[in-house]
Amino acid sequence: MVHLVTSDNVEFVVDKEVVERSVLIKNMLEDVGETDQSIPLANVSSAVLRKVIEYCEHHRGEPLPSADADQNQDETRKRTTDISEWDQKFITVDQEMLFEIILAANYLDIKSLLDVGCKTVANMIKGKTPDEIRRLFNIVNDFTPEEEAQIKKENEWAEDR
Amino acid sequence: MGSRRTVPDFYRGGSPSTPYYTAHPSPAATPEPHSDDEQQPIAATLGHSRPPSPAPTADFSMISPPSSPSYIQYHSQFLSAQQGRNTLPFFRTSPTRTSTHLRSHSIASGGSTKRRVRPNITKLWESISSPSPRGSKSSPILKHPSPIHRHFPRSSPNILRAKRKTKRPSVSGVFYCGSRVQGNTNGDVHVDYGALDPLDGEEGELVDHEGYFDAIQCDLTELILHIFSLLPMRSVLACMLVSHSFYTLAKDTSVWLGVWKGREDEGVYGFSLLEDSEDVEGDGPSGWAVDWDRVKALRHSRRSRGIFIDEGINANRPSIYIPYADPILRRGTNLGPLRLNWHTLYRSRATLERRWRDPRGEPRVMRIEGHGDSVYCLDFDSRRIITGSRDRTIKVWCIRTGECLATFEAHLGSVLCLKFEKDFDAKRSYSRRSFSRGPINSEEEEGGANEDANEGEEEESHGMMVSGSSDCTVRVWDLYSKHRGSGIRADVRAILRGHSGGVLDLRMDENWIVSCSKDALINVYSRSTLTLHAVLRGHEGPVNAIGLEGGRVVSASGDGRMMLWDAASGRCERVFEGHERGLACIEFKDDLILSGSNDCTIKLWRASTGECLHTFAGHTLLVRALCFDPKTGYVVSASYDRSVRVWEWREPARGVGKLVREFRDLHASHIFDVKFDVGRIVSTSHDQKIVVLDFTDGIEGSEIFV
Repeated sequence: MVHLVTSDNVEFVVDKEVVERSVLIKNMLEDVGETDQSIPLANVSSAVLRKVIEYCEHHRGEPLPSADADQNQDETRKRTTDISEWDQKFITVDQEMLFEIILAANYLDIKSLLDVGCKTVANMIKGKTPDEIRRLFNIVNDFTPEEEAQIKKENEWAEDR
Repeated sequence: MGSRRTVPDFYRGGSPSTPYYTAHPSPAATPEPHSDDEQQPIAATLGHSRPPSPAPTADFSMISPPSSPSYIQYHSQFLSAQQGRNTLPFFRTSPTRTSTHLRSHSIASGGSTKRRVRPNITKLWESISSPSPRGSKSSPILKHPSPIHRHFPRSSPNILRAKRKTKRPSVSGVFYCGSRVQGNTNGDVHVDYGALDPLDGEEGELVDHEGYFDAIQCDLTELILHIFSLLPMRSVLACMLVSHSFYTLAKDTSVWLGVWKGREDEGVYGFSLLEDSEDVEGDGPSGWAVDWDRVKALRHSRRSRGIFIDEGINANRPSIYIPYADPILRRGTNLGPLRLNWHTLYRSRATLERRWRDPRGEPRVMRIEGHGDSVYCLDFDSRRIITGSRDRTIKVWCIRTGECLATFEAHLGSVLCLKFEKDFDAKRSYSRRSFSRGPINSEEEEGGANEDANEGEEEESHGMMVSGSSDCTVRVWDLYSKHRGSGIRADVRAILRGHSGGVLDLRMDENWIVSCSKDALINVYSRSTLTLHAVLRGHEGPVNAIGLEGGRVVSASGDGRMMLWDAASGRCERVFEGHERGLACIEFKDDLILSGSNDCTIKLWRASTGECLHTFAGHTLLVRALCFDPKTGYVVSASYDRSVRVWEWREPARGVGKLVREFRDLHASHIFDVKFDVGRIVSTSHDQKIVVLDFTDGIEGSEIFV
């Protein structure tokens, strides 16, 4: 069992096999060896870590992506839609949580979770107009009409004719 | 931007008030970066403030000596200036990511223990959920804003994984260091590099060091870039119109590389399925690719500079390696993909695609004259066209100018068929030179003629050509060419006899040379020994054409049958029947066979099952020649009806095969042969002319597309 302490000082006790889906922690444990000391995860809040652990529990035992990235180089490039059903349900969270999960996955180095998160955001953007994207992420249009026209002109090559 | 001041204290060591763009990897959206106080001339500052580091190439080999300053200069430019030439003029100047990097490093090298400085994550977040009605309620993300870790350089989380274990400073060290500064949210991954042994040039130490600083900058920006790179083109274009920061991000070359890869991996390959709903882009076939040897060639020729991101800036780098190459995207090449401007390339490639498909997209037409009689056959590569004629000669033509480069005479009859090793002289000369190259004078004028005028005598490249004639022989030629200049010469190495009739078609691969003849036989010769290995008997009429793929031969005969053979054993594996009249031409690629017949149709077959997948009807006379690219799905056919037609083969949901273009009146008489590549269609005719349809005119970077 591994003890993890989140940024808001909540301690989690997790199976080694589960927590080792995080390459960061896996490497730490390999370097440190058996230890009772808890690992502080100062970048992850308890709410997020709970989600992350839920994910790791579900996917426990699955092979980690091989270190030899060359072999599965196309894996991450697959269609953005191909998220498994469970993962899709898992990642159906509000936007803040989604980004926090992505950052945590990034930090903890859990590639598959990072992929799920990134694909989910990509799917949110996909098919939307600039205006819809602005509304989605609450972004203010800081282009002048002239600038906007210029970009449209710059992108004319992609227009359907 | 009101929440800028909500940045927690621990940012103070860094660059708390840098605007959003500081964390940006491609901030050079500003054509004229005016420098504020923070922003000294980049190269100079960098040269002094940043200790040399090796680059984390994907395989972690050292790409330049640790002491070489050129890498650093390069790196700074790479980070800061990637898109200088294609950006809109109205972007406000902002401190670049590089400058953040610089400052953070300056602090670090000043002996401070607070070495880790990160770009302002607040602004990154704001770029997504910007001027938020939440006001000062900072995003929860900000409460633990240091997901920085040496572990996540750029867009893939496991880029450094391969070597990391052996290279990072001891994790326990990191770990306890983190405990010590508990309360400092940054603490847990602090590495006090000052306390470590000096970098000793040991590779791992250095790579880790590099990764560490990379990671400081990548972070959220990298994640956003990664997310964007998963999008289809239309969505990326939409993102460009969202806001200034989105524009800069969405135009990043890494994003467009992702968009490009999306198409490349979608290669049609006949049957690899392409869901209709996915491809709403409507740009036609995918399977886009670039040839990296040609990229290198282009780089050395200093043409089409717009497709290179750092062109002319870091010209004296000792190698053309990129310090960062995403292993996801790196394919057996050592020229980093992010050195290319994929936005420009995508635009060029899409424009080229449209020219093929748009009936108004007229190609540039070049008519080449020189043969004294019918031109029966042709083959071409990126530099030359080689043709065989009834005048018994083989001629080599410059593909760009149409100039005749050489004439080879040896056959005693018409030259009916020929094949040569394409681009045999492209690869070697470049790979040799890329290492020995001195500073490139960026002032040097463009153009192919003077490339490498001061290079020493260069070794000749050697290639192979085979030609078949009505004199019943196959001649095997050695081709010799130098990269510089366009000269080419050839010697007959061997004459393969064995047919009792004219040699109508031939093919070669690594192992075999296969020829077919009017005498109804197919001869298989060993390519290495040039001895007859097998004779394939079975046809009852002249064998007009053959295809060779993966050691299997398919033959097309005037008797109307097609036969599939195993070259090594000589066994006939399958007979295809379906055409109503004799067959004139055949193409065999992957598992697909295309046959053209005197019944005016083209049929597509699956080699492994023997089923006929489609019949392309439209020609009004015998289909004399075919060329097929399974990658893009294009088929080009030439007929005695004097038309050249472009068809496409997509998997069934897309409407199977259909006519894309038709070119009439290119020739005054029967067309005998046609070949095409991504940018050109070349045909030869009874009218003694060679016609080149060039779709690439004026398209930047089109030389590298394959």
